[in-house]
Amino acid sequence: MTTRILSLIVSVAMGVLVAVPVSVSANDDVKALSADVNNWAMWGRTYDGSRYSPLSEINAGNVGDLQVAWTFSTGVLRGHEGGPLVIGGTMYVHTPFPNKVFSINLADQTINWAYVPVQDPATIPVMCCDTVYRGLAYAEGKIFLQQADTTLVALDANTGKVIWSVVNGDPSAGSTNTNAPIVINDKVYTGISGGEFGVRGFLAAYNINDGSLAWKGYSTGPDDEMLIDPEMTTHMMEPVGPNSSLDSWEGDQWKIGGGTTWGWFTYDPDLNLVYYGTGNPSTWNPVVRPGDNKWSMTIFARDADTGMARWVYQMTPHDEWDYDGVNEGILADIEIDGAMRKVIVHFDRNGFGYTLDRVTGELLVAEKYDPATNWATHVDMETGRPQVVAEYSTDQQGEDVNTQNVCPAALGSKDQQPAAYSPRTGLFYVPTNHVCMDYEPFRVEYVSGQPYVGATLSMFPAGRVTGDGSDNLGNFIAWDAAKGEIVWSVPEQFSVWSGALATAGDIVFYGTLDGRLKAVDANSGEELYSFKTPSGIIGNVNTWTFEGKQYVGVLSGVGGWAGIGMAAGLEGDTDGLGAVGAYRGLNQHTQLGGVLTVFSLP
Amino acid sequence: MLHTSWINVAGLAAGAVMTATALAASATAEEAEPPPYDGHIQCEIEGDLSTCQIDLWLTRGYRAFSQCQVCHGLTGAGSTIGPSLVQKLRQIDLDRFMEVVVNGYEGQIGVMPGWGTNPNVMNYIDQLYAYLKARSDGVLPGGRLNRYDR
Repeated sequence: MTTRILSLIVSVAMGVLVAVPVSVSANDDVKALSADVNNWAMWGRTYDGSRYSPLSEINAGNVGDLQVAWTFSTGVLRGHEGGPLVIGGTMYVHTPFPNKVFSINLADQTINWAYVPVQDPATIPVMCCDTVYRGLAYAEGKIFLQQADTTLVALDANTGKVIWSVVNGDPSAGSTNTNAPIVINDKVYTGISGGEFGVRGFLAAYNINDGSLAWKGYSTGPDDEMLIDPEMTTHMMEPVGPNSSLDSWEGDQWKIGGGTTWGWFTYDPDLNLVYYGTGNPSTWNPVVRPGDNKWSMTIFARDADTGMARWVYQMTPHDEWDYDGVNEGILADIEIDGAMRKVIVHFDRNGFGYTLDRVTGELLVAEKYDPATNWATHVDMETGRPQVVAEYSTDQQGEDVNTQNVCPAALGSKDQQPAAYSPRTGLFYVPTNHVCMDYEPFRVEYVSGQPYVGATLSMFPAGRVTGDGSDNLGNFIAWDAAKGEIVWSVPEQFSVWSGALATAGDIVFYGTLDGRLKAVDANSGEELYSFKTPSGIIGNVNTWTFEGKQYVGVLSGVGGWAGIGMAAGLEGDTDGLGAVGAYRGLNQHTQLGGVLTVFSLP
Repeated sequence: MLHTSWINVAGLAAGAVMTATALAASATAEEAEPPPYDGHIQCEIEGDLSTCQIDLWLTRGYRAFSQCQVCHGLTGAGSTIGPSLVQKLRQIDLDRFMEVVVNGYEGQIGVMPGWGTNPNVMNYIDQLYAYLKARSDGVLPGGRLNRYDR
């Protein structure tokens, strides 16, 4: 069904008018909702994760006139990642722990309903890097909420009442959730967090009607538990062979091996493949876990119905720097060497921007999207392996040795903040970090439910390593994924930790840690608009229309790992980290607090 | 590298403690007790923290602190999630420190886990306290330190 779904207007007890979709298959429902440019019905707007909107009422010519239309406080102080969904006349806003959900009537910005789950506060301490949550999914009149305590809940989108809930992991063993789920066909997909606690990652598919588990594919372990077929699943176009994961770990280490799945999910309806990445292998001390540690740090392409892995690609075999591979894979059709290719583009924590054929997993491009990246010289295009520089190998330097000036830092050249792709310019717009580190691994004992880090680190602006005199901690770049080249780069004082939005108005939006929503020219990067929101922005910028008018919205509310790294040195040390003025600045710009700010033209 | 003019930090620390207590206008018995990091820090130039080095014993405290960094900041100076330990250690005594580390703490906006069953912290709890006390007393800079006994 390709036309917009029929809606039935009903009046509920609250006296609010809401739309109830008439029965259609979820796939058609989500497809139709996301095809409607007036909505923002999933995290990336569309299944390809492009975060591109064909709306152009707000454009390069008038974005300078943008004004605040309305605001909404979430009442939560933690880091606000992700962005709101908009479906018809209703917005759904999520928050960090305790993971509130608000349904907001766009006509008068009143709250239709609010859902506040009761969660054990003991969940908070087992969340490694703030109690963030990246957003909701919607299908067939249900809102899917992935709580921090791993409970996956289906709420009635009209009333906020719980339809079903299912437990996805065990917080007492360090499992939590921060990811946004996604709905494909009749299933809702979610992952798991806890790589710093030795949690074994997986992708799970639950039936949207009753929450029953359809399948679960682990990142590590025996082939059948990973839903890997040794003959059919490929890596670099070759079958992975039997025991591809087991043979890459020492003993039973794969059981606490990490490879968690806390990033974004994308989907190609024609290929029926769902794409996502896996996180770091557990313990940050690489010396104690020899081998490639498969399939941590890997892009997976799985059949959405069965979960079987079609292909995998491991970006960082045997991680030595905490370069989680969870960042989003954006699906686009672009011309490479004269031929149109169906590609997946992935900006990895490790500093390389990868372009792969999303049908076959063929590696097409792997180039540094932050020139400061120094831990590897390049990626060997025959084997797909990064060529590691011994000086920056925390394994080769060894335990109890401080490996210095590694770029990027553990934060990665980009973390969870998703990029955007404009088919009009053919460019990818990438929020990046420009931070390097010293990293000293040491031996730790594994205890279930306890952090399992095993390294001390210091972070500082990349300019201290490159010696170019710069002290910016971030850049916002435009990237040519066919050539693997930066087209333009705008320096930012702090890491850019906000998800980007590209539109047919030939503008790109992003937020900054000091709290500014910015709009730049999609072709040149020239700044066209800037507005200071109430707090630092680590949320994603989304756009929609209501009653024919285009709006742009973003959650502010500083926190997340950015808040940890950036707040370092607040006391103004003259030594170590505090030596760099750039770090001291953030608390002069912003404080905690979650607020949605919505913009429109006058 | 040879260091010919190492100054043991005990003298320096005494100065720091004196300043702090003078401000508080209460000379207490604490002054009689050597600070927990006494004998574990050496600084080449008095007053220049960048020249300070520590021994293996105190290094274990810094490593235990790596478990704290994700919330209390890379230097312990606090972040958007957890408060500054540099300041906290000026406000709480050893008993309170032990109680919070072992059992955890539920704050206004954050929750600290209890570490009582974590050997990576509890096996080095004396060193962790000494390290944080040294940071709090202003006798060690934030970030990693070199060892003088390697």
